[in-house]
Amino acid sequence: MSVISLRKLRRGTTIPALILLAWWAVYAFGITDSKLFVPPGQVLTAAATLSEAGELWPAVGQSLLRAMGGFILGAGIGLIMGVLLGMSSRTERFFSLTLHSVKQVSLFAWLPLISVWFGYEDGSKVVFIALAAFFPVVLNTLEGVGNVPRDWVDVARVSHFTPWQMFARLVLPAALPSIFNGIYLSLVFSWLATLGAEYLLGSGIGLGTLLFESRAEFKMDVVLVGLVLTGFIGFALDIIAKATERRLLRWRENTVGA
Amino acid sequence: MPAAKHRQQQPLPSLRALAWRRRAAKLDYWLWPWLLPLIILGLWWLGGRQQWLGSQVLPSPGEVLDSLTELLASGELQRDVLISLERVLEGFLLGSALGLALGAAMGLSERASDYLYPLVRLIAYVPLLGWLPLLMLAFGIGETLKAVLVAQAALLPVALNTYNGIRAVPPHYVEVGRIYGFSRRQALWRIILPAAFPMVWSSIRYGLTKSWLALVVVELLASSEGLGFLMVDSRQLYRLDAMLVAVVSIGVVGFVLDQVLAMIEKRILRWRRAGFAS
Amino acid sequence: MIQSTLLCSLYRRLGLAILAFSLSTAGMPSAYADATVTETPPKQIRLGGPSLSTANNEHWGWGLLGIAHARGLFQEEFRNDDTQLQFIGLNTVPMVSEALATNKLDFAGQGDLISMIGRSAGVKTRYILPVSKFGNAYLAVKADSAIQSVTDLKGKKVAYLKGNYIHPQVIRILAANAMTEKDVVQMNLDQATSTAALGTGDIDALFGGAELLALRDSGLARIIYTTRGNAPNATAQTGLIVRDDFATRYPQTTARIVKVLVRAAQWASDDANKEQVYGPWWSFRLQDALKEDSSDRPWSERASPLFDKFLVSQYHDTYRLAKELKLLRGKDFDVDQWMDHSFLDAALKDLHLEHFWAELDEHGQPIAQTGQ
Repeated sequence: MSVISLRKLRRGTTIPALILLAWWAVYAFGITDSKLFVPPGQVLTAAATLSEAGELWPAVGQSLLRAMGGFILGAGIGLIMGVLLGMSSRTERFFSLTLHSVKQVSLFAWLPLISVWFGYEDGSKVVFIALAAFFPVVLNTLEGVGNVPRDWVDVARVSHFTPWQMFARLVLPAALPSIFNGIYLSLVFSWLATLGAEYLLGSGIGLGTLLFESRAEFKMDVVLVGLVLTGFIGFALDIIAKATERRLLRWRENTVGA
Repeated sequence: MPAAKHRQQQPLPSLRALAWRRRAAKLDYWLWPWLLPLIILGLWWLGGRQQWLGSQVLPSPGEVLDSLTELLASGELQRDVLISLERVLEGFLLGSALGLALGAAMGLSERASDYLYPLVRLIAYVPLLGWLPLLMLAFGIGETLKAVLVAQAALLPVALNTYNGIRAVPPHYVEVGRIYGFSRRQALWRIILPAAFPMVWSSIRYGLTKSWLALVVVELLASSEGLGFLMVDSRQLYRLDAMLVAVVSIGVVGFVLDQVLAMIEKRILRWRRAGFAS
Repeated sequence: MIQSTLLCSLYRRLGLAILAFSLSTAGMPSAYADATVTETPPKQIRLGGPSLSTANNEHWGWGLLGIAHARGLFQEEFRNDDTQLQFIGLNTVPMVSEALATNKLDFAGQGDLISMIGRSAGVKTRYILPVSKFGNAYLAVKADSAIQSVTDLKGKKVAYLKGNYIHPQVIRILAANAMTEKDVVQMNLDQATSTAALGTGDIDALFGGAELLALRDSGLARIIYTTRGNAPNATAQTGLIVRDDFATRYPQTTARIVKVLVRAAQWASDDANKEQVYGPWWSFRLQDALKEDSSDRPWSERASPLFDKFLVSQYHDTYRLAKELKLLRGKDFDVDQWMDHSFLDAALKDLHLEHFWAELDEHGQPIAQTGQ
């Protein structure tokens, strides 16, 4: 490891380390007697206890399942719709006004309505997450497809490309960076929406439910366990998305290059 | 287009037809996007009339309209809109100002970015709502909680994008500035910030959207006024009509906020272009 | 053609059969049809209500629903049937109405106000059994608060949930002090959040049930008002609501559910079971609070499933209040018709409990037993 990256590492960990130290010090010197204050060790113990009691991992699993279900549904529909609308300006104009007005409604305002229309079961959470995942993908896909250079399209028309060829060889590679940006945002929003859905559409287990209920019961240690886990999952999603992006873009370079 | 040209060469009567056709095409162009909303509205209206779903699932447009006039007449809606607006602007201004400062510090000083950037990323990995239970325990459920959450919603994207925006300014811009003898300060204000502006500004717009989203959530969970509260309140009393009014209002406010920023952007860009022109 | 005439005659015959059947059972309570024709219960019966503890659904159901569930009476009744009983705890009150409206529940335990709001909004339901009566309300303030009485609440931040069982109680308590909801700032917080908010000073006072006694015992709050022992008309009543089409399609299953609850009521009314009655409710740390809370009248009065004067007039009054406050938005409906006594009557007859409970008058006092 070079000197510079070592220095970066040292500097980067300084503040988090100081925070941890301060946290521990507050505990060690008994500075506060607030019930909300839990020492760092207790968070680890809480994690172990929850995990042993079989409460933690099923909750995480359920949440991830919901997030992925909603993401695949929403991003899938968003992708298809984005491509279809992007390739036909008349269709796009047909939907644009509706799409752009519905988009303006802050995501979580849909939750109570979804609860009325789809009930309390997991289905309604997935519908909500799908809605959250849909918009970034459809809007970014539209933008990406719209950015395909006019000349390319003309050339493709002259060469009598079939719609499928047009899509696979022209539109997709050109729009990919933008589509990917949409998918990345959509992943982030799916995870955010999963937590929100679990807070507001209670019933059933999940990481969000665990977080929110522990808050209600003043279990600060469990709240912190949940916080670290949501952060870790956010981190993992980020890594996966970036790795996929790199692969896809490499593929694109090959296609375009060929 | 070629077909139209063809027609133009034909005798008089079709000239008028052409004008009509052009007018019709124009009308078609403008009306076309309204077709889908009109269809949806029509189906909604018809569905309400024919009791397809029943008003316990979807109240008719008439009921929603009645509810809207009632909420306006009592002043309830205006009050909730104002309160929500005030809260979101307060939190957003605080958050984006801090975000700008933080992002600029990280972008301009390597030392600052070494120390702070990992921490900011770490905070950003936890979704906004992941922080909410902790913030609720720490700050209670009053206005502080709302301000902190809304500010945080804007702070992170603005900080990260300002940082990235400044980092993306090509070094030779600064070199050119140095050749002209710009001071550090001049370089900052006249080269770096304008060059990073588009990215920073788009994150500010995004930050406002996120702030609005965060406020609605926190109002849904803990509040006694505001549009989110209006939703919860009507939900608890099973008033779907008022709930729909709240949904639409939340959409309208979100739209207006975004449009205001779009207008500011246009003004700033004009100013910027003028600056280059002179 | 042939097929359709065949179908026609089939329908006609079916119609005649139904007519004959209904004639033969005309003398009986409509709900409890001929015992020799047994109906097959649906594959699943979904019973819902607000969940009592957020942590799990082990403690499910309010009042008689909770007792019957905890004692396994539902399972016992349906053990020979190919049916699955689902006990669904929903963590917010509005979700119960929503689930009824979207056919996601067959039965629900609901407070008086919200069940009427749902009915008025067009959710087709019937009220078939009172499952909890005389639920007391308490008003808690911070231990060192300057608020001494209900009238001091003017302009203060007060937490209670609208539509919840507590809501009509709050309306009545305020009304008794010449106030309305507009005189206070209502904070819409669940119980756990409002407890915390009282501690941090985000709210000034909090209306709730017996759980506030535990809060008082922990030294965090002072109770400055309660309906216990002084205002039976400001107590909470909860009923069993059934979706209309379920009751029409499965009258016998509905009757059996009611019968289970009446058996639970009989058990709870027995003084010998007094100590165990608290079992299903909440957690152990609330048991003392519940004992204190229920000390004002015998369990036989709380658990009584009768549609007596007290209950009926209380519902009529809630209806009137709700109408006045514009909480009922839909078409008017007849409370007496909405209340379907037939299932209870059949169960009482079946279990020979017709004279087991004493009727109470509109103020919640026993009616002198002379007429019977």
